[in-house]
Order: sequence, then structure tokens, then C-alpha cells
Amino acid sequence: MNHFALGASALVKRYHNEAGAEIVQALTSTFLADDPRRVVVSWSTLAETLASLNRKKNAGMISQGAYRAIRNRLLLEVREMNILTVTDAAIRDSLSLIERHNINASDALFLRQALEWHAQLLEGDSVVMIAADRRLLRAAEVEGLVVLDPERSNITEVKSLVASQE
Amino acid sequence: MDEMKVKEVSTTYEVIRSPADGIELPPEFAWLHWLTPDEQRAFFQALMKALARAWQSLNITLLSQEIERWQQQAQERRVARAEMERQAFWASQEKRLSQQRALIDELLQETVSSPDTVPSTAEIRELLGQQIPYDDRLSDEIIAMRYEER
Repeated sequence: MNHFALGASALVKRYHNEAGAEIVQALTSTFLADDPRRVVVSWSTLAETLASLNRKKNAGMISQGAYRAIRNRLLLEVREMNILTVTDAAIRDSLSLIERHNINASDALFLRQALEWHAQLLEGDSVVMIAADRRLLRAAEVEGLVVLDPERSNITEVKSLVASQE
Repeated sequence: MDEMKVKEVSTTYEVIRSPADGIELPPEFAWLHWLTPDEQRAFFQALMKALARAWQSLNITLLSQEIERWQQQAQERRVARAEMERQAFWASQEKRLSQQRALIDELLQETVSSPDTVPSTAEIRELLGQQIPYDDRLSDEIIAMRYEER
């Protein structure tokens, strides 16, 4: 059974139609309806997603009302997902990921959290890292996670990853 | 004579094996490891009875049926155990998940009177689509934010 760790660069595609959006939307809609705990995020995922929208708001591209509506829908949906807890140990252990893969602090922390979650799962269960950030995906792959770039995959691949749950 | 017969029938024999004395399983019987040690013992007991019946009747079908029955049971028990483990796993996570939900609820209380008043995801996509073009990727914005200080 796969759990899907959504980086902010993937999560945002649930709300904005852009390259790879149909993949993220199909995946998240399936699990939000059936088993939202298998969609894995962190507080940093939420923060980065809101930050990108806030920048668009500040740039005058989206209205205050639209921003508020998106923020609230995002919170309502993330509420049902599996929000990973950040611990001091996770932050400490993310330092080696920064050095090993030259990724930034928030990516390293999310990757560390995903790896910790992967280690906690039952035998046969796995974490699939989903992101549009190739640096993060490369690091996740080297660390042993299955990865999916929604901008470079197709719906068949997603269905295969979802079907491997049994 | 009758006394002797009764005595013979009432005598049972056991093969005593050390728990550490494992039996190498051929691939066709790999499913046996899904059974607990007690269940494996019951399987071998049933197998010996079926083997005796098959031997007496010269009918191997009896043996096949018994083995298939156990194989089916092993599969069912494996699925049931996996489901129990899964439920226990999520039960062990529930406290953490409910704490996270409570934190989100605090944020929502600031701005949301009722979840029903929040536009649906489809409405959000339409709204954002009107204001941000398809080619203006929010994912690129996030990646740029991460590395723009370089």
C-alpha cells in the first residue's frame, strides 16, 4: 500500500490548473474521498503553498477574497490529510540531507519526515514522493523512495501506484 | 482378542520435534509461513490424516482437497491479520492526527463560520484559472522561492 507525500510544488496543482494538475487532482481526489490519511504533507508544505498564493495576492494577480477562499479550502482539505509532526530530531537529521543532496532546508526537512514515515509503515507499505521540484525528487530517489513528477508522468503511472495498495 | 484390539486403537503415537527443527518449505507450500506455529501444527496434523485416507483409498484427491482448504484458510488469515495490523497502526496515529486537526481548526475558526460557506475545490480552480494563466505555474513560484536567495 502506497502513501503519497505531497510537496508544495505538487499540492498547489490541486488548486491551480497547470502542467501536471490532472495527475495531482486525480490522485488527491481519490484519496480525499476514500482514505485521506494516505496523503502525507507537513506544515512546511502548507506554509509554502500559502506563501506562493500570498505572493500572487501581493503582486495583484489574485484578489484578497480569492486568496481567503483558497486558503480556507486548502486548510479544510489538509485537515483531513496526514500532517507529519516535526521533531527536533527530524530537523537535526535533515542536516545531512542538505549536505548530501544540496537541497534547501525545507525540502530536506520534508524529505526527512517522509523517510521517517516510510520507516514507520507496515511491511509492504511505501511512501511515494510527489513533487515538481526535480532536485527534491532526485534526493528522494537516492534515499530510496519511489518518486513521481506530475509534470512528467501520466495517469497510467498514477493508477499503477494507487493500485499497488492491495 | 477384543481386549487387544481396544488397546491397539487407543494407542496414539506422536512425532516429537524440536521447535528449532525447521522444515524447508518447497515454493508450493511457501504460504505455510502465513500460519502461526499452532496453526502449522494443526495443518500437519490434518495433513497426516488426509495422507492416511488418501493412502487407504488410493485417492490423491483427498489430499489435494485438504491442502487447498488449508491454503485458502492461510490466505484468509493473512488478510485478516494484515487488516488488524493496519487498524492498530492507524489507532496508534490517531492522537497525533487529532492534534493536527485541532491546530488546523484553530486557524479555520478565525475565518470560517461554516465549512459549507467555503467554495469547493472545483470553484477554487475556476477562480484561480480566471486570475492566473495556465502557463504561470504556481509550482514554479514555489521552487523559485526556495532557491532565489542563491
